Amino acid sequence: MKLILLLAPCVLALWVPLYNSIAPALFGIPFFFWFQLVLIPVSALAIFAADRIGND
Amino acid sequence: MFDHLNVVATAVFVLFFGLVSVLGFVAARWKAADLDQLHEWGLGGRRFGRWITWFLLGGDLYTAYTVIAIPAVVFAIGAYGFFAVPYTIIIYPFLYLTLPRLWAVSEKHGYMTAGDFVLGRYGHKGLELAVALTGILATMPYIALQLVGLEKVILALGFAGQGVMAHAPITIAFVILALFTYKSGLRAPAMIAFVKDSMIYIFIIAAIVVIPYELGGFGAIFDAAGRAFDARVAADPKLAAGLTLKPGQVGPYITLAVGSAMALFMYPHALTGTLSASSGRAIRFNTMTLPAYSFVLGLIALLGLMAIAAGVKVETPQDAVPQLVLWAFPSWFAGFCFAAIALGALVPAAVMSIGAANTFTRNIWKPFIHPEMSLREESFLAKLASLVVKIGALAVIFFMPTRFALDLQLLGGVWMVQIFPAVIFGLYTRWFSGWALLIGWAAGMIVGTSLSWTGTAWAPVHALKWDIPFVGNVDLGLGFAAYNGLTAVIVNVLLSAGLSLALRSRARDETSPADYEDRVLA
Repeated sequence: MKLILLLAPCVLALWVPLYNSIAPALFGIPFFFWFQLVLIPVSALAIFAADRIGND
Repeated sequence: MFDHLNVVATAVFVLFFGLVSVLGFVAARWKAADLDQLHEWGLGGRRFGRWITWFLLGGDLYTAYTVIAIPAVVFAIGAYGFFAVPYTIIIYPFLYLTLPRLWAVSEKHGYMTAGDFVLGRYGHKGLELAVALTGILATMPYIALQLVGLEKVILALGFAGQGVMAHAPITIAFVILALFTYKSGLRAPAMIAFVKDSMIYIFIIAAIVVIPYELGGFGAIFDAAGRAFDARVAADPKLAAGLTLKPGQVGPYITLAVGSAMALFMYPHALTGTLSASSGRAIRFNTMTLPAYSFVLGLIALLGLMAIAAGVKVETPQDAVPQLVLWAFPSWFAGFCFAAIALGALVPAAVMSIGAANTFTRNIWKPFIHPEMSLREESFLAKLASLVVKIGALAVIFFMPTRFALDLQLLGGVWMVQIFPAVIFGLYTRWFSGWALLIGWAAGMIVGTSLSWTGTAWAPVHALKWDIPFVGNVDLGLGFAAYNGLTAVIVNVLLSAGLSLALRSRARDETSPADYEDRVLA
C-alpha cells in the first residue's frame, strides 16, 4: 500500500498522453497545465499518507 | 552607465541586498560552534531541524537560474518548458524512500559527501575520485549560471556598463557572497534562505494575482499565448511550440523529467543541504513539504505565457520574466522582486561552492595528496576551495560566452546521473563491485557526452537510433527521442551489472545493514 501511494503520483505525472490536451479547461487554464499543477499537492498528500501508514 | 537606471527599483534592490548580506555575516554566531571544524563550517554541524532544512533546501534547489530559465523556455516554445513540473513531482516519493537511508549511514560514519559514502561502501578510491570529480565538474557551470540570473535582473534595473564596468555589479555581489561564505559556512545560506524564500513567495503571489487581473484573466492569457505560438509555427513549420506537446516532444518530456530527477540529488549542493539535517525524520518531513516550492515553480513557469500575453519586448527569452516584472509592477515592487531573484542566486551559489569545497577537501585532497590532515587544516582548505570555485565561476562569466556555461550545465546534468548507480544502488546492496561501477561510470560519461554533440551544438536529447563505430546503425524502432543522461545511465547500469558478475569485489565494506535504518521510524 505504501509503495502504491508513492508510485501513483509518479505514474500519473509521467503518463503524458493522459493530460496532453487543452480541454477540459479550468478557469481558462488548459488541462495540460492545471492537471500537472493540481498533481503537485496531490503527490505531497500521497507521501504524507504513505508516511502515516509507515508509522502505524 | 546610469542614464537609464530605474532609481527607485535600484534603491529597493540595494536595500534588501545589503540587509541580507549583513545576515550572512551574523550567521556565523547562529547555533554557535567551532567553525574550524569542517562538519561545522560545511554541514552546519548536522543540526538543522525540519524548518531550517525546508528553507535551505528550497532556496538551494529552486535557484535564480530556474526562475529565469524555466519561464524562458515556456515563453519560447510553451508546454515543453513545463517538464520541470513532472520532474519535481516524481522526485519526492523517490527521495522519501532513499534519502533517510543515506542520512542515517552518513551520520553513523561521519560522511559529508557522496564520495565519502562510496568509499566507505565499496572501499574503492578510484570510484570515490570519479564521484567527486563528476560533482565538482557539474557544479562549476551551475554556479556560473546563477551569475547569469543575477546579471539579467541587474540589466533590467537599467544598469548599462561598458567593458570592465559591465560586470562590476555582479563582481561586488560575488565578493560579498565569497566573504560571508568563507566566514559563516553553511549557516550563511541557511539564514539568508529564510528571507529570500519569503520574498520569492511574496513576489509570485503578487504576480499570480495582479498580472492575470491586468491581462483580463487566465483565459485571455492562454488565448493570447496560443495565438502567438500558432503564428510562430505558421512562420516556421519546423518549430515545435504550443500549449500542448507535439508528438515528437512527448518522449523527451518524459525522459528529461526522469533523468533530471535522478541527477538532482547527486549534485554536491543537494546532498550538502540534505546531510545538514538533524534527523531522518526532518528529511521525510521535507519530502512532503518541499512540493510547495514545486507549485511555485509551476506558477513561475506560467510567467512565460503571461509575458507573451503582455507583449513584452525581449532580446533573449531569458529577459521575459524581468521585463514582465517591469511591465506589471510599480518600480519599488519591481526592485523587491529583482532583489528576491538576485538573492535566489546567492543562496544556491553559496551552498554549491560549499558542497564542491567539501568534496574537493574530503575526496580529492585528503585521500590523494595529504592523508594526515588535521581537522583545522581540513576546514581551512575547504574555505579556500570555496573561494577558488567562486572565482572560477566569475572567470567563466568574464571570459567565456554565456553559451559555454549553458552547454556545460546541460552536460553537467548528463554526467551527474552517471553516479546514480553507485550511490543509490549502494544504499540497498553491495552486490555491485567498485571496479564494475567505475567502468560503468566511464562508459556512461562517454556515451552521454558523445550523444549530446550534434556536430554543430550540444543538445540534451537524441533519437533512439545510433550510428555506433564498428557496429553500424542501430535503431530501437521506438520512434521517439530520449534524454541522453537517461540513455547513458542505462548503458552504465547494464555494464556495471554485467561486470559485477565477473569482477567480484573483496574490498572491505565498512557499513553494516543496520547503519541504513532510519532510527526514528525503526
